Amino acid sequence: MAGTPITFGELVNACLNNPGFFHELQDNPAQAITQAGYEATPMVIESLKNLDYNAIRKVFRACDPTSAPMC
Amino acid sequence: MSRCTLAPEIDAVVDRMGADLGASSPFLANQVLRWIRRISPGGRPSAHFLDVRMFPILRLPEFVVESLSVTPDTGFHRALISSTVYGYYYIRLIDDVVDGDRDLVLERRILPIAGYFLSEFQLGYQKYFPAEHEFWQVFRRLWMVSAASSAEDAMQRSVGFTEFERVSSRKFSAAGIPVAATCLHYGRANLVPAWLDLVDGLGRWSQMVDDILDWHRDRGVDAATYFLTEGERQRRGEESLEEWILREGCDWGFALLNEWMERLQQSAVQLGSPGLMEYLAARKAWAAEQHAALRNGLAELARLAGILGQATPASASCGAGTTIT
Repeated sequence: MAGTPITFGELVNACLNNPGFFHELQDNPAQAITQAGYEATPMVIESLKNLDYNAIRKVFRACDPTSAPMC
Repeated sequence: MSRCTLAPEIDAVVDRMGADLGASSPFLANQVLRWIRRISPGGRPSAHFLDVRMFPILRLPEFVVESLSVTPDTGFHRALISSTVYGYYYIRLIDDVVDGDRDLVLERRILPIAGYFLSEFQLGYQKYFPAEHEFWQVFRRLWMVSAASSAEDAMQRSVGFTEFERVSSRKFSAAGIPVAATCLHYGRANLVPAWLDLVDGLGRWSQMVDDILDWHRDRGVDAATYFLTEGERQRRGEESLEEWILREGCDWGFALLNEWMERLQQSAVQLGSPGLMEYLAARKAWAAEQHAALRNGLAELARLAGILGQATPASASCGAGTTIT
């Protein structure tokens, strides 16, 4: 998938497999987005700052199998 | 027995288990306790059994008792707690090995101890029910259904509603054993069917919660569930499973949970257990929180996908997204 935009499905997988990326995206969007292979334009950075990262983290917490004793 | 008094009882059972095993093999005792701590939130067995997502196997007998207006037999309930803890670890150890979705070296090494768990589970009832007692017929039936459902569920390739009802949601049937034992111990055999229906309904609800919230893990280990099967059936053309979950799968799953919860709450009223009603209300509120978390979080991830979709990949050699996933 080199050079192709990441899909929604891949982002959901990233959220559940690599939640640390979203901490990076919130704390240092320019660096995180560059490391992910995108150009960190001011418009993209601004859009990223407006995301609700708490809502994204809640998906990880809800679906975290280590927090589910019955799993 | 309330949550507060249950916690020390549970930890005491595990302490006794460690002492029993340690008398034969300190090494084995350490390994078994290491496994128990590993599957327990914060390493505490009581936290495991009282966790919000845990099936209320230890609380169901308490719900039965409070509906009967009887003086609880403390010794009987201690024996039930001990038996149920052992029974759970027996089922959990086997399930972990069958599921095989992570490093299971420890589980495989301690697997023979499952025989000890099983005997302690069963011995807990022998003091209270002689061999000819009708309890053992119920015990045998529920234990068989639970074991057969777990085995069949692990082999399913797709799970329609029929299979979900007949197989997947019956894995919790063994939780009916301490419930039936409580009814019978207090001489209320007539209540066994209604309480077992309640356990079945709660099993159905709990299995669906697991199906929805564990969809990612289930798909990763190629496990068939009702939620994943419906996702495959309901998603449109090129739509991914994740897109289906965002569009309607999440709402569909939680709407089913709500519908089933209403039936459970009606049953709780008929059974006359305020503790059960309180428990179900808390579970309903918890499920609503998970629904909102999943729906809102996925919507936010869709926004992020939109932002990245308009961003320019830096170069073809540095694949967009490869460092994320």
